[in-house]
Amino acid sequence: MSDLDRHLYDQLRTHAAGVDVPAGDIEAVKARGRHRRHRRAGTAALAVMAAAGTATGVFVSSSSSGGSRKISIEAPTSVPGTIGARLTWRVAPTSAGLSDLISVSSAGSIAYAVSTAPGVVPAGKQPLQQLYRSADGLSWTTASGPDGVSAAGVAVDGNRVYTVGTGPATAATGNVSGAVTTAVSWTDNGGGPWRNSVLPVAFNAPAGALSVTGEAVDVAAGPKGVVAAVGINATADLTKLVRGVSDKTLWSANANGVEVLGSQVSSRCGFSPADRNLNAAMKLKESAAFKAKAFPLSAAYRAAVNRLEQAGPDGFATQQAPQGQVTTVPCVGATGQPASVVPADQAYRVVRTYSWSQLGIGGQAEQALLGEPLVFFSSDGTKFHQVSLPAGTAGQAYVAAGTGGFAMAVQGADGPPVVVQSADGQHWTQAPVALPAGVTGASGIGYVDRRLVVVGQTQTGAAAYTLVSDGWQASPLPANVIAVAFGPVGVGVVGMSGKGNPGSWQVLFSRDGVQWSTASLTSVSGGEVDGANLVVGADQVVVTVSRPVTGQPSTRIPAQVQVMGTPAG
Amino acid sequence: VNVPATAAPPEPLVAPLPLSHDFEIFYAEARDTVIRAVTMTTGDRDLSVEAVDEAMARAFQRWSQVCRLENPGGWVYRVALNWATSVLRRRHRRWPFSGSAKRSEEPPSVAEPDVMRALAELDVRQRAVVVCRYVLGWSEAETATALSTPPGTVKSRLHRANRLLSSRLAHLRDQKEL
Repeated sequence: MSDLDRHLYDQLRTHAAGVDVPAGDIEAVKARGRHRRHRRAGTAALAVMAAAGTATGVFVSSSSSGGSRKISIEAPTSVPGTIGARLTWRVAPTSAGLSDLISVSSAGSIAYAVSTAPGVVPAGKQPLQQLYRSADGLSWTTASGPDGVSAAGVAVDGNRVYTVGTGPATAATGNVSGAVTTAVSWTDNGGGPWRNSVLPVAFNAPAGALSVTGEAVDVAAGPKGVVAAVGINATADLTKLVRGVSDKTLWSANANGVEVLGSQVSSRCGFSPADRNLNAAMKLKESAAFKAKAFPLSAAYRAAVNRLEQAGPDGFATQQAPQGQVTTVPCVGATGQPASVVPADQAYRVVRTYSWSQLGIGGQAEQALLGEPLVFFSSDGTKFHQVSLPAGTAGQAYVAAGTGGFAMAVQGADGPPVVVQSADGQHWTQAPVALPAGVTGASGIGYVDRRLVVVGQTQTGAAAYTLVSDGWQASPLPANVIAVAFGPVGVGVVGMSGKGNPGSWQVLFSRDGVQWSTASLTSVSGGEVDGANLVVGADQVVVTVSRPVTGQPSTRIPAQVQVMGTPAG
Repeated sequence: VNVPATAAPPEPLVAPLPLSHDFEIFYAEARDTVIRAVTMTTGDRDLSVEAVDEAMARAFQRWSQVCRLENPGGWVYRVALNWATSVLRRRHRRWPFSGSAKRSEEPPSVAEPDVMRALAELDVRQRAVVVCRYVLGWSEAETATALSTPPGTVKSRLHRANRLLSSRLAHLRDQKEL
């Protein structure tokens, strides 16, 4: 490195260190992430990740005739009472599929989707998402959508099409920053006027004390009626609720209300401003120069290193002293590895508590602050009322409708997802068997062949969990589930396994949630895969594959290929 | 694999931390550094904060995958930079880089304004490479992975950037020699 390089290096680092970074809000970031996670459920997300995973064992045979390639995939064994999952794949004559698919639903041969326009979305563009219709899952045309409502979810039941979405706030939504109107809209398939039913959401909170930063919605329709779930990200401004509180006051919220926190509890992952040096000290401690005692330490670093060496099993929190609302405090051990996470009201002394009613917050506002989904039911899809979920459910909800009623996978704020069911849409109970231990999140839920299937993530991969007579049957999926879709003919999953870029892309399919087939997406599409989504229709599965970009960044546009999988029998 | 209703799986000897907790640690450790790096690349502190928060939300959304990457911070940097780029395009704004990013109360007095002016002359892609290499301290290979760019491209961008910076900052070398 030349002198100039070194000077440049020093100067750039000096400038970077001088950038004033405002305090972050990890709870808000996680809430945004949960909303985005919801958008992916049952749809598509183009992502290239690295992970390890396995897939079900299959028998694959291929044949070629006249340039048209066919690959048959068949599960090697059969289970009594189950339906074979064999698919025959071929490249479709069309190539412009839905790139950024938000929600898709199909009944009979008709599918509706909320998506960007067919074709590739150029890098850096954020095109409009609207309602599309298809008779084959391959070719999509724009469908008229409801007036004044931006559709975010779609459900098709027979000849009726439902959307759930948001529109501008009205006086009815309350004096809350960021609040929007949420509505279920419906029309008859084939085009008729749309009608809106505004969901009864109104916040009871003092003026200016509550702000909504986003909403996620889902809708499911079946013979028993229509269920809509609304997840709302809401935050409270404690300075508007409690006198003498400032922006810097540390506080925590729970089901009972708000706790104002004071000084740290030093025995529980305690920290002080001096601990800002701990990160650097950890790295320093591991460096060869430090081990060789090649340079003297400043007093601050020496103190930090000493504290590291004396750290207990929970070690130290490495974040700066938080301000405002905090839920948990992460701690790392002396080795720098994660050791524990301590609830904020254990890491800090509780100095005051306020119940929600003392703060003037109640009803749906309280639910939104606690992350609980608001769930609404209508027997005819035109007039909705709120229904209650069992205690212990919180976070984003994914809804499914079947002939026997409804099911929902509710993501806990910090715990595993919970599956709840209802025969009538109004009375909900937890599923008779909890999801297996180790399931950390849900990516989709639906019914296939009258069986309930939950696509779930674990800490090491992903699996489809099918509710059978004696519990949940787990079928391994690729570690990175990219897209999930349920449809009349079954359930399809696109996933990627294997470390590196590109990984091993696979498409899996089941007609009953029990027997699964799998195929290499690279093989069936005849080339490299960079991303994919899928639509499951009445008689075929359509996967839209995006190729990796090539050429110069300014001109690179990925190509698309569509492949069709047709079930045998 | 059938999971019977009554059979509980054996408890692991050491319970792994839930991934969300793992993310909290990553967030606490990486956020400020990435914001500084993106600010150095875009020149807009507020936009960079917004971009990194968005990228962190996306990282949390798919944390089970992102945490397995060799450099999750690199992934967040790239996503944040792409997001900031698309926002600027939508706003029809030119790159705001002026070397006058918001400073802390006590900016280092030794910072050389000419360096920032020279940095501002670079193409944003060259600037990203310079920031990864010199601010974040990544190797060329690590920079290539983080930016999802071929190593040869990183090398050539760095070469062109260094050539321009050298020509603009020749006077500093002269001063140092004095």
